[in-house]
Amino acid sequence: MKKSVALALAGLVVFTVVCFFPGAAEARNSADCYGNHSVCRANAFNLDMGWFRTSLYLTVCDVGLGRCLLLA
Amino acid sequence: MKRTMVRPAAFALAAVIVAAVPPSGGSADIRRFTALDVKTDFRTDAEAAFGRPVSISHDTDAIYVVDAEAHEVRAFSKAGVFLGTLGRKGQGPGEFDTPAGLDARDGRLFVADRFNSRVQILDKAGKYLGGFKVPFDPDQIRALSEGKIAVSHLPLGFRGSEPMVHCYSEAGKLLWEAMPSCSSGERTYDAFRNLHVMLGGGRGDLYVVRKSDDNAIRRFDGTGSALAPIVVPPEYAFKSITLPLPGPNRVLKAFCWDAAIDGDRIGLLAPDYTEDGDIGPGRRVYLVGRGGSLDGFIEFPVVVRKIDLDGDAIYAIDDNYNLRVFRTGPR
Repeated sequence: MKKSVALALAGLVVFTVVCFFPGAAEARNSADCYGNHSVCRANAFNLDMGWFRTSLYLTVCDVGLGRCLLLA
Repeated sequence: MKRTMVRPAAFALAAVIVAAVPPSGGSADIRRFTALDVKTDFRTDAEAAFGRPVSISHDTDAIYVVDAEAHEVRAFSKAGVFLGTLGRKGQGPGEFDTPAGLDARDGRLFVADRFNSRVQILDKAGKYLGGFKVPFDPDQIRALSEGKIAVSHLPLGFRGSEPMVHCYSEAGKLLWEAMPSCSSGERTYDAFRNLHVMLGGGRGDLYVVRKSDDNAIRRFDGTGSALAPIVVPPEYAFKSITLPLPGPNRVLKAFCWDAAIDGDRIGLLAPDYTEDGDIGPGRRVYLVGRGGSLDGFIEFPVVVRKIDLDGDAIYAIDDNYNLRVFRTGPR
């Protein structure tokens, strides 16, 4: 049971990164990264999910921001 | 013998006293209502299916729903007839990029055009009447009296505490700011603590309801001066959840999922636990008087996500992102 939950969460995280955080290659500078991050967070809240799930999405947004800033 | 008789009598007397005293705050007075589903053609009209309905508002003869995913506003008659779509994705006048808040007032629509970072004022046909840029991504919007427009935003948490509510003139001049954001250093935690709903009091005043950790509804007059808050009685219970964040336990006390106002009553959509233990929208809207009295609650047949009060009618977005109309009836 725990394994399937962990797998589902991992899938959710990957899905979120792919769907809601534009690729770092599209970001030309750090301003783009912050813009993408803002879109990611707005998407997370607009989905109107439960707060536990939303907090996971927001964490993914932050991870995506860090990744984008490193690669920009 | 005498002592053994006295003890049971004392216990019985105590029990009678306890039973006679109502719970603190007089929760016995809370009235219960049932939301009766009004049949409309909302769900059978393909145009009425929403991607991400984020805001709902009404005026004298229509209901408006913002669909952030479709970048448009959809209008319906109160009888359930789809009237049309306003706006489309873009940056021009009357176009939107992920619209968020909406307020229909005095024949005009005030739209928080989030990623165009601006406020737009439209007529009921969607014609652009005016607007102005703001230095943030606007989230909620309320038209106050005397041409004042309150706009709020959700801070990203990079700049420490900052005001979340900003009041502008229709020409875009900043008049006042209020509601400093929570800033603990854990940005995700703070994001939830800063979630709020803005309500126009109808007398030029503004109400701000935080969605968690605060049972006091903040009030401001038209000049931005803080008025005495409305403290919701403890019978209105919080729902707690621990967020999966690093560091100390990040417990949120969920207060409301959405809120609406109509006349002298404020409706608070109470959050509830989902089957998997998460916090989500619930089926009850608690009615709070402007004086802070907990007057009753309306029980819905389904989970609702967004609410708008209009006399005995309640417009709501249900759990399947459909627009529903309910009437308040006795339980």
